[in-house]
Amino acid sequence: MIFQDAAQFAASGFTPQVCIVGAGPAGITIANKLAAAGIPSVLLEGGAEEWTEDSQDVYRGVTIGDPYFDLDITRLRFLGGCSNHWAGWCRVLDAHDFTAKSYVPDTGWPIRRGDIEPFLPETFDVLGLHDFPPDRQTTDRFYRFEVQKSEAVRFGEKYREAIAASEHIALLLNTAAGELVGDGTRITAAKLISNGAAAGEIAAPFFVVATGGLENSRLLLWSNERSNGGVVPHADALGRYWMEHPMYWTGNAFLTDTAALTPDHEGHAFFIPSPQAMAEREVLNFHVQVETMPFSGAKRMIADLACHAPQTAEWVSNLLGAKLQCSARVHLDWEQAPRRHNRVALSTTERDAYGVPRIELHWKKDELDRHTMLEAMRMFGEDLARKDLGRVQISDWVLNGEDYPDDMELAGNHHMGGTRMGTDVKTSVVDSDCRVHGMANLFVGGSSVFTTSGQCTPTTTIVALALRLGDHLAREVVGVRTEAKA
Amino acid sequence: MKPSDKTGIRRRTLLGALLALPALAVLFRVIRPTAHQDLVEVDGWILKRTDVEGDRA
Repeated sequence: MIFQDAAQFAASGFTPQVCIVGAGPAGITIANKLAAAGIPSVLLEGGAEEWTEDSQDVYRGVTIGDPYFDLDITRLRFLGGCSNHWAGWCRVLDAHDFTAKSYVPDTGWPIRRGDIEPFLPETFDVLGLHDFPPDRQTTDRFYRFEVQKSEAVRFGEKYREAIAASEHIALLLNTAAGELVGDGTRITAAKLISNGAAAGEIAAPFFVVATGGLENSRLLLWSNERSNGGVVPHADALGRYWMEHPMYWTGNAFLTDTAALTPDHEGHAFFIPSPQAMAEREVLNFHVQVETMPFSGAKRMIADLACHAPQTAEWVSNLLGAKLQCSARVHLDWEQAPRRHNRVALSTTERDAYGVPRIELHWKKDELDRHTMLEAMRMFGEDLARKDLGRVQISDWVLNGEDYPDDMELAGNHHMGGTRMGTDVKTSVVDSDCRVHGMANLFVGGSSVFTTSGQCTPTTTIVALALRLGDHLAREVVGVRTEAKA
Repeated sequence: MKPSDKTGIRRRTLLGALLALPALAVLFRVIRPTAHQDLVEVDGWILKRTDVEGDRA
């Protein structure tokens, strides 16, 4: 069922067991999982079925620290959420991403990869993926791994018709939870804003916040402030430990055996370090993307020349009208350390059209980012040279610790942390079931629960965790029903 | 199309010359040792020691 506003929904008499705030990849996946178990849920979507300027405006905010994307550009507020601009690259966090790194504080999840593995076949169905081949060891310390460049699933488009026909899912468009109301042990209601105006409250036995890796923190911070701590009773870590995947072109390479790197059909080859290699240099996880040059013949030779004598090559390059570079470029994406000071906060001066404080994102890369970037390039260069697969040149700005370039991507638009998973209430917000510490009926879906980020794109893991949460909730709802009958 | 032997030789010669260019840099740039005896870092290039010192290394 699909409703265009809260009044239409109220008239329907639909009684949800679970209220899911946010209709992006996590929210829709949880609703589908519950529906498969015959459990009715209401899915609140603040936006419409398409992008609108008014809806997007709710996401405006400021970033303090390092340059970052505009907060109303890096995410989307309409049905399907951020899946609407997702590139479709897939990979699941590795087993070692879940374990603590002794040299980085606050790492280590309370679950292991084995806890999400039962949900991977279903995850692959949702995202249209095939099984991932095993990583292949290419050098002593690096493995060639597969990033599946899938046809990106737009969750709104893919599931709209099924939701419209479902008896168990009520999708409520143009309707946001302005705040949750809690008493320190339970959420009692969500206050609705529908079509721009206050629209009463909605009650349900269970609530899931799944509004995205920035907005989850904002909604919970605001709700907690309004409820005097009644929504997140242990709020030390709320909004904190926020993470991204910084990414830059960090060097060039001259390849002597391109075939050995097995580039994909776009000429890209992806490499990850072994856990031992990371520990050896005390770096966080990362991946190296080698982009082989699509030139051949004379152009290729000139491109090779550019690696070694860029000034000499420049005039030839100009002559041919092409920006020729080395035979390969090296791109690095890396995991950030979870830091308390990187956080989502509520603005004290700016509010959106509905009176909710806008986001003030505090985000700054630190020395460990620099160290990881440089040592990652060194390790990869050393391994390529020792295997005689090529030679790597580290870019001057990386080598000399100069400012990060402002003409590159900066990061992956991956918003992680803020309501991280853990066992210690001082450093986490949700437990291993994604339940907010101390709250009987409040859960969180999405990448905000990531304890650490690993090196890979988050969507595949988000969907796997959402399926796991949906499965858990289904059992919990049935348990509550059974208790009530008894 | 398979390149002719002559083209192949020219290519190898040129690439050999190109690989030797970093060696010239050694004359006026600092070599940074790496964690491995057989490798050096010259101005950001991760090279085999033999790349810059020839077979004497």
